[in-house]
Amino acid sequence: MKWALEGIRVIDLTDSIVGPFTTMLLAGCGAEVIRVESRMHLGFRRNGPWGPWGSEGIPQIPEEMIDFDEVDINLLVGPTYAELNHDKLSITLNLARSEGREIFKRLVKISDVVVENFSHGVMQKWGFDYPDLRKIREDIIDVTIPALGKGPAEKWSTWGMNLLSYSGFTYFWGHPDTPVTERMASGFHGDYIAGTEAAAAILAALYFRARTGKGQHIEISQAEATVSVLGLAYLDYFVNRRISQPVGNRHPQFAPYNCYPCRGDDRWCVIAVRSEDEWQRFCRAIDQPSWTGEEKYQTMEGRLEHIAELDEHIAEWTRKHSPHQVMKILQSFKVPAAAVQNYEDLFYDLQLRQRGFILEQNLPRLGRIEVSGAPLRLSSGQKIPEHRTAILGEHNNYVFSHLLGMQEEEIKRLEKDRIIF
Amino acid sequence: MSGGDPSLLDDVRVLDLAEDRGQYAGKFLADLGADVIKIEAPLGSKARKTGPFKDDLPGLENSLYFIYYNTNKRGITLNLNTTVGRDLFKQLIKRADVLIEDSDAGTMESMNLGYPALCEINQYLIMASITGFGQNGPYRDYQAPDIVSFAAGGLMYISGAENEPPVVAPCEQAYHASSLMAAFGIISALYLRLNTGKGQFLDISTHEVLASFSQGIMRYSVTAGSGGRTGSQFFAAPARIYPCKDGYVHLLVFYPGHWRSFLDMIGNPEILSDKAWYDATFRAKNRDLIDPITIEFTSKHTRAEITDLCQSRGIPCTPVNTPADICDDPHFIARDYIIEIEHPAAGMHSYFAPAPDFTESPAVIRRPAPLLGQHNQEIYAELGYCDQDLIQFKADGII
Repeated sequence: MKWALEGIRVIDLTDSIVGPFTTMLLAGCGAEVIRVESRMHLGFRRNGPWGPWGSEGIPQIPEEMIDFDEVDINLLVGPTYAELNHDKLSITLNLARSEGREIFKRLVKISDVVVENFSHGVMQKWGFDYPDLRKIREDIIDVTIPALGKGPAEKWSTWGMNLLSYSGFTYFWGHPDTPVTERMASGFHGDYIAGTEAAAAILAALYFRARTGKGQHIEISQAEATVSVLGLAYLDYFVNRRISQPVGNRHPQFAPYNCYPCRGDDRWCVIAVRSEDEWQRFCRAIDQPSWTGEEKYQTMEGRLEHIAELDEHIAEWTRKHSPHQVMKILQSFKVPAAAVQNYEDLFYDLQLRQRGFILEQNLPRLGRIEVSGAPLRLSSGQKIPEHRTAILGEHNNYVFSHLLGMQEEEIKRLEKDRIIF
Repeated sequence: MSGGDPSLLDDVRVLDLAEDRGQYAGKFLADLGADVIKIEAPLGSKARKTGPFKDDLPGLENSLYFIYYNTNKRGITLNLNTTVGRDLFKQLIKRADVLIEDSDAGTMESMNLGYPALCEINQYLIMASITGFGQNGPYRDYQAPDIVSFAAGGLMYISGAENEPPVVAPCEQAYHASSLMAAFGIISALYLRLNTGKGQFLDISTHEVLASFSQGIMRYSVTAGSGGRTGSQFFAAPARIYPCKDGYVHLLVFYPGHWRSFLDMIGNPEILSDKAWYDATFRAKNRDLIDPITIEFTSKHTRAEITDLCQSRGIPCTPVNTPADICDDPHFIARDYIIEIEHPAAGMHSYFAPAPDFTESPAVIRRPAPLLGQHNQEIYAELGYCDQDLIQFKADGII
């Protein structure tokens, strides 16, 4: 047994970020992840805002304008797709057609896990509700990662950013004087949190199945997963009836603890002093300018009380240095500090490079690119990535002919009829 | 609170030494049914001194921070800085499947409790070490509270409004991210162990987890761009947070279909009739024209009205909620996600049910967070110690 999930077959119907990240984690443990895609529905990732025609700044082509026969599948491996879908297989199967759905059922019969992140109703419409899939394979683990989950708002259409606003993240995520309209609501944090929870839940269900023989249905509402990591703010409301307000980067118990400007345009660092020891070391690290000796800064209470002027003094020092100089100087005195790293910094990050975190891939159109590697290290059972992202339908032959035993003529006909398409 | 159903991880015992970045890992495993034993120093975990507190009164049993992360766990006290304490710990390790710890790299080794030493005692042990920067490399010994990881991992630079300094996410998101990744790794290792009969060591670097979440390496690799902050603005229009009669809504009009529906919703204004507006990028460049028209519409309606109008047309839109709004949200109410539990100090209060819903082996809240040393007696009794021994341990500052 080389890999933790060796021999586990996952049917991946997911799109966008949350689902592909979930199945990427499974693939990283050696599961055989088969992405079921179609030229008839290229989806968000193959042809979305980050797809090959829609990478930032380039208008995307609406699906109704695409000539499906002319689609160049080599163009459908965009960088974001490659970041999240390497080391998976890809087949084309048109589920809008009943013949396509029949083939899908045959695939379910020989698989262990089915994962999708549709709104409630899509799988049901196709006849792939859990009870249906269970009739095909009794111990199937059927996983849905919808935005909101079954309930009054089950049909809502949302993007990951919406869920930051919906869950309360956005309300808390800003400086004290940031207007609500400008607070942070443009990232994918919720997708990644829900995706990691989903992957852990799937593993737990596989573990349960190995002990009991029982499969099951799992629903991970992205909204609930996102809310669950705001538990503190929610508990403050549940118990104290207080709605937390955005506090920016300062800390209620520690000072100095903030983000400070550095040398250069839009360059920043963070410094977090949590004890008197760290304060003493901090003063030594910055060569003890006279203000560090002032009486009012000698206790945490005093520093918290005079935080505004203290932060000004510190900013005077940080402005003379680059973010990485601040990190190096302070960390060598064991004072918590970091460069606020931008994409360029991350790309050249010494730590990530030296630990071999970064993966190289060769894409048909873009050539060599680099992407994030595995976000965790197992000492055994983890698959060494092959650094490859499948082009659309690359594994049709393996799946339809080898796994499902379909004849070549039949496959040809299905291709012509836009079923395997 | 528990039903009769078997739970996902009910044969798994976890020892939890986590003090900050790893606390949510044990909490997640406990929610899936694992027997998680929180091990605290005799004077209590650092978390017990962290706010917010019930009624703003600091106290070891009053920390909502501790309560949130330790519900569903049992709790014992143990001083690992004593020889007897370390010996007791090793006896616990013999009966454990998983150890979660989040001290600085090298700390466990310095107490002779590193993975090789513990593996000798129990070869089935799965040990997860959650650090700021990982077990090796030039930043290995760097100090990494939440804000440091959030900054170094690339998420902070892209968080916040365009003309403001970067801003860290609320509620320690770097910690949550690495905790959840650790939980995933631990269950993978448990699954592998079913076949191999061997434990293993997991190296979770918060830095790497956040770097994955940021997509920064890929984006720089392709665009040579450094990223930036856009607040709530997405690269389309209307695609941001807008004020309305009773609060705010987050509206995302991206695809041509969204735009068609949006025009229909606001009454097809003449000025936006040109086909060029169907292009999201063109609209993004002309936000100054679109946003005032959008605000004119949104400010005439309530959050609920706009959300309904948009959702009935397939336009992604949600209200911008506070916890109070979520508690009144019909969808949240219908799903019973917010439940009532009772804690001896905090009393009856609301709490979240575990987020994943399993049909066969439900994840449930079974017990409130432990009081300091609450389960000393029952857990040390398993090791063969009687009340008399515990009195001695206590006198010696061991528990």
